[in-house]
Amino acid sequence: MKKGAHIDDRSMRSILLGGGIGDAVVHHLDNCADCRERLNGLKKILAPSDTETINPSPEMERRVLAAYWKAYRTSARLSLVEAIRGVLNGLNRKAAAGALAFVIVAAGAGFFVYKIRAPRPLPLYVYHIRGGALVDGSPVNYQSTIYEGSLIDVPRKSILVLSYKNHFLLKIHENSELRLGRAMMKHGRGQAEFVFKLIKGTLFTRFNNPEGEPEYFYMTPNARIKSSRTEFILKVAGNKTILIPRSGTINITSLETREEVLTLPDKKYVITSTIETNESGEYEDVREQLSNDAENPLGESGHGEAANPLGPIG
Amino acid sequence: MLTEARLRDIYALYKKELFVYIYRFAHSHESSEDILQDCFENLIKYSLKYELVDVNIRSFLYRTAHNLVLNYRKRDRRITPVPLEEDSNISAEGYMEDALELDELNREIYRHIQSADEVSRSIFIMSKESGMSIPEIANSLGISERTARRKLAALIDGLAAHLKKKCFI
Repeated sequence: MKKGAHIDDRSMRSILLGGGIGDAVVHHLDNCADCRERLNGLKKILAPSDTETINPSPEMERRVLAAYWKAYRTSARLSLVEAIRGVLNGLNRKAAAGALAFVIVAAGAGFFVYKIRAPRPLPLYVYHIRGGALVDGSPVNYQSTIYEGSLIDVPRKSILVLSYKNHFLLKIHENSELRLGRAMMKHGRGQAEFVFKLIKGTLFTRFNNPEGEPEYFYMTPNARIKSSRTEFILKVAGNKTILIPRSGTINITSLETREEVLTLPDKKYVITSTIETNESGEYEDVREQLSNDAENPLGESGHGEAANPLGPIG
Repeated sequence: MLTEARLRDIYALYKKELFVYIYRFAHSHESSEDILQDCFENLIKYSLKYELVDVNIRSFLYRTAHNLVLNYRKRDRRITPVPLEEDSNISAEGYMEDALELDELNREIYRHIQSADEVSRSIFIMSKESGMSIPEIANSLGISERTARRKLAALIDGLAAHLKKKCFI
């Protein structure tokens, strides 16, 4: 740089856009207030603006996940169609007989893949709704089909109650997310085994299982819970799982330590990395909720309340 | 295909910056959310066909957002660009003087760049709001680094002259 000269616009831009600068320019900037001021002015142009109030709404994540599950189910169905199409395109006269046999085998295999990959509808029905619950991003109604892998989202001021035959009632409280895991269903004998993954929030369940029937499984981020003839409330809050059984025996396994506990009624169990019985006054709100749900799972007051299909156990 | 857990992570990582980028073009919260959802749907559909191992997910999302925003603006020509003060609910009360001044400056900047071409505006917003480097921007928009640098430099020149005239800098 010439003595007395200032940094030209091109060099200024280069500095701003992260281009390398020579020692002479650095030295000049250290000694020239005018050029420093010019550079600071340019830096303001590229400084981030205040975007604190510009955010997508919390429902956006649910919408994105709903799109994910919709794409997954569509993909499973298309796999079968493409498998058959691919085989038919490759056929010629000479290979017709063998190709036909191959198509039959491929179709059978494709059908098998479709059957094991595509989510199945589950024999759970919507017993009661209040507010705006969603299943796979779509509003729940009394005709909604619940699939294996469905994500149930119950927002604020909402409740969803699911039922299976006369055995089972599942109440999902507000601010909860639950995914239906893989279910095993033994047709003919009418048996069903469900896996419920509580991602966050609270659920109450009443399960009046006749002797010899399978158990149900509940998963949370840190616990696996197995139950048969029971009634309990389960809550996931942050890194804690809180369980209070009302009746029956529940098997809790810590996912981290593999510690197992068989519960006693009316005790509070708090699972983090370990399983502890909590005797303090903490989580009394959860115990109170359990009492309320046991008396009145639908949570409605006033007239027109639907009859409870399951009486208390015991 | 993407796992659900990975999709959640990607969404958590990029939702804010992508939304700001889209919003600076669309000026409508509702439309911006629709476009944001479309971006992730595109990613999901892409992951059904191809592995994401070699894909720069951030660039993919920005490129998708850029294309979707362009389509959106073509589809809805009746959108009037909204000055920043109308779509910001920042209250002036309690603000330090510097912050107010910066707010005014940014309003003027966004008002001025409405006249720039879409690509230049994209480059500018990516650099300013998302802190992306020239190579990242070039990769996202599918242009050369030289073009990205040239367009950004031209926009900054124009802006600097305009802001100087208005005594902002």
